Amino acid sequence: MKAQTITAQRGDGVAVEVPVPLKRKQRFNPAPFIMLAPAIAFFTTFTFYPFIKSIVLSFTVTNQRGEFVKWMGLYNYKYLFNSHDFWRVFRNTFVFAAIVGVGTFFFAMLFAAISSSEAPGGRVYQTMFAMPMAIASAPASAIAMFLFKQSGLVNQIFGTEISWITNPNYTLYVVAVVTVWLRIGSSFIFLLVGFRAVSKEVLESATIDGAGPWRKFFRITLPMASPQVFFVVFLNITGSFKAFGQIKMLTGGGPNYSSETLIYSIYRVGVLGTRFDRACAYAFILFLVIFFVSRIQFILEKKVVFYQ
Amino acid sequence: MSYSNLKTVRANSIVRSRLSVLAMRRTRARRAVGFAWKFLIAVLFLSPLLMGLSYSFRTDAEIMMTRGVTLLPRVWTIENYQWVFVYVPVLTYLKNSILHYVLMVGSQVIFCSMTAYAFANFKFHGKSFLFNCILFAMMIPGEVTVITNFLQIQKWGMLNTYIGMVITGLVSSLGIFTLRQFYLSLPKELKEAAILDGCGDIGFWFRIALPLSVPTIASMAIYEFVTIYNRYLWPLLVAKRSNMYTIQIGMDMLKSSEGDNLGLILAGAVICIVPVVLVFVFGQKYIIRGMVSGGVKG
Repeated sequence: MKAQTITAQRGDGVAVEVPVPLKRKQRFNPAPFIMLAPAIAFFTTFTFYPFIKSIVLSFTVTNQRGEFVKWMGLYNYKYLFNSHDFWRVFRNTFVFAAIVGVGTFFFAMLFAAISSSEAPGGRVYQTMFAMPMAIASAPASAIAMFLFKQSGLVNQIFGTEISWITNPNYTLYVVAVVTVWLRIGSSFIFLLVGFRAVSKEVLESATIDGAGPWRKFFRITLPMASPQVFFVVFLNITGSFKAFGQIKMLTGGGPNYSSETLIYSIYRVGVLGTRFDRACAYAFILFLVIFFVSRIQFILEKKVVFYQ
Repeated sequence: MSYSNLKTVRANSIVRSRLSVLAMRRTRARRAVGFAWKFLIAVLFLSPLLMGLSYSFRTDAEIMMTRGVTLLPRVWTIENYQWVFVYVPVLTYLKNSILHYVLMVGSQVIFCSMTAYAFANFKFHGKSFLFNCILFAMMIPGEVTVITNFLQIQKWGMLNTYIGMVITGLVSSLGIFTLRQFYLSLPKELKEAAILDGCGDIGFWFRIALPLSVPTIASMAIYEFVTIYNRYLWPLLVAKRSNMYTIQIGMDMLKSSEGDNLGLILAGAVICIVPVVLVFVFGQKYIIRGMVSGGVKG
C-alpha cells in the first residue's frame, strides 16, 4: 500500500513530502478500567457514599442504630447553633489550631535552623528532633499524664500545685502542648529539607556582603524555603483538626467541654451518646472548617509563596 | 563559616604549618561545642520520653515516696514490665497490630500501584474525571466519614473483625500519587520493547513496572508502618472485644483500668513505643523519602 503524503514546510522553508502516519483503528482497551475498578469502588464505598450519607443524616433524626427515622430539616443545626457548648467547642477548635499551628512551626523552625548546616554527628540530633513523629497519641498521653498530674513532674520541677488535667483553665493548653510535641518531628523534617535546598552560593555571597547569621536566616533561608514553611503551617492547622487520641486519653474533652474540639464532639455525641444524626452535623461542620481552611491555604499560596 | 575558615586554615598552612595545627584544633573544638549544645537541646526536647523511660524502671514505692525529680532510679527494677504482661495480653495486641499493618499495607501496595499504573500509562475516556475523583476523595478527611462508616461496618457485622479494622484503609490516595509519579518516570521505550516481545498491558505492569517500583513501595511501606501502627480512632471504634485490640487501644485500656499505677502505665507506654521507634531509627531514610515525595512541591 502506498503511504499517503502531505506537503509540509521544513524549517529552512523548503517544501517536502511527509508521509502521513496511518491511523490505527482505536480499539476499546478495557485494561485501565479493570485496573481502576478496585480503587474507584473503594473510594465510592468508603469516602463518597459515607460523605453524602452523613450530610443527609444530619438533616434527619436517627434511631439507636443510626437508621433514618424522620426528616428534621435544619433542626440539628439550629440546635447546635443555639447551644452554648457548641460555640465553646467551636472556639476551642480554632484556639487549639492556632496554638498547634504556631507552636509547632516555631519549634520545628528552631530545630531545623540549628540542624541545617551539615556537621559531623548531625544525624544523631536530627533523628532525635524527628523522633516524636513515630510516637502515637496513646503512649504520649500516658507520659503526659505522668508529667502533668497533680503530683507529676511538671509541678515538682516548677514547685507549683496546679491540676493541669482537671482545671478547665489549663486543659486545652495541656492537650495543645502534647499535640505540638507530637507534631514537631514531621514538621522538622519538611523544614529541614527546605532549608537544606537553599543554595549555598547565595548564602555565601551574602556572607561576603557582610550579612550576619540572623539576617541570612530571615532574609534568605526562610523566604527561599517559603513553600515548605507554608506547607508546614497549614499541615499543622489541618492536622490539629484531626487530633483525637490525646484529647480522649488525657482529658476526655472535659471538664465541662473545656478541651473538646469538633472531632471529639463527633465521637462523644455519635459513639458515646449514639446521637448519630447530631454527630453527622458535627462532622459536616468539621468538613466545612477543613474545607475553608484549605481554600484559604490555596488562595494565600499563590500570593505568599515564592517558587523558584 | 566553616568554608571560609578552612580557606584561612589552608592559607596559613602554606606559610606556617604550626599555626595551621592550632587552627585545626580550634575548629575541631568549635565543632565539638556545636554538637554538644545541639545534642543537649535534642535531649531536652525528648526529656518527657526519657523521664518516662527512667520512671518505668522504678519500684512503686520509689515513685510514690520520692519528692522532686531524679534522673535515674535508685533501684532498677523490671517488675513494672512483668506486671504489664500479667495484666494484659501484650503479645496478642502486638500480633493484632502487626496483622492490621500487613493486611493494610499489602492491599495498599497492590491497589495503589494498579491505580497509579492505570493513570500513568493509559489514555482513555474519562481519565481526567476519574483522576479528579481521587483528588476530591483526598479532600474528604476520614474523620468526617468516620460515623457513617462505623454505622456501615456495624450493619455488615464487621465489628471485632480484622477486615472491619482495615477496610477503610485498603487504598490510600497518597500512595496512588507517589506511585503514579514513579510510573510516569519510567521510559516509554521499556513498555514498547515489552509489548514487541508479546507482553500485554497488565503483564507489563505485573512483571516489569511493579518489580521496578519496589524501592518506592518499600519506602511507602516503611512510612505506612508508623502511620498504621499508630492508628487510633478507627480501631477504637471497631475493636470492641479485648482480644481484637491493637497495642494502642490495649495500652489506652490499661491506662484507664490501672490509672493509679504509674510505673505500670509508663512501662506499657514504653512497650508500645519501642517497635515503632526501632523502625523509625533504622528506616529513617525511607520514611523521609516517602514523606517528602508525596508532600510539598517546589
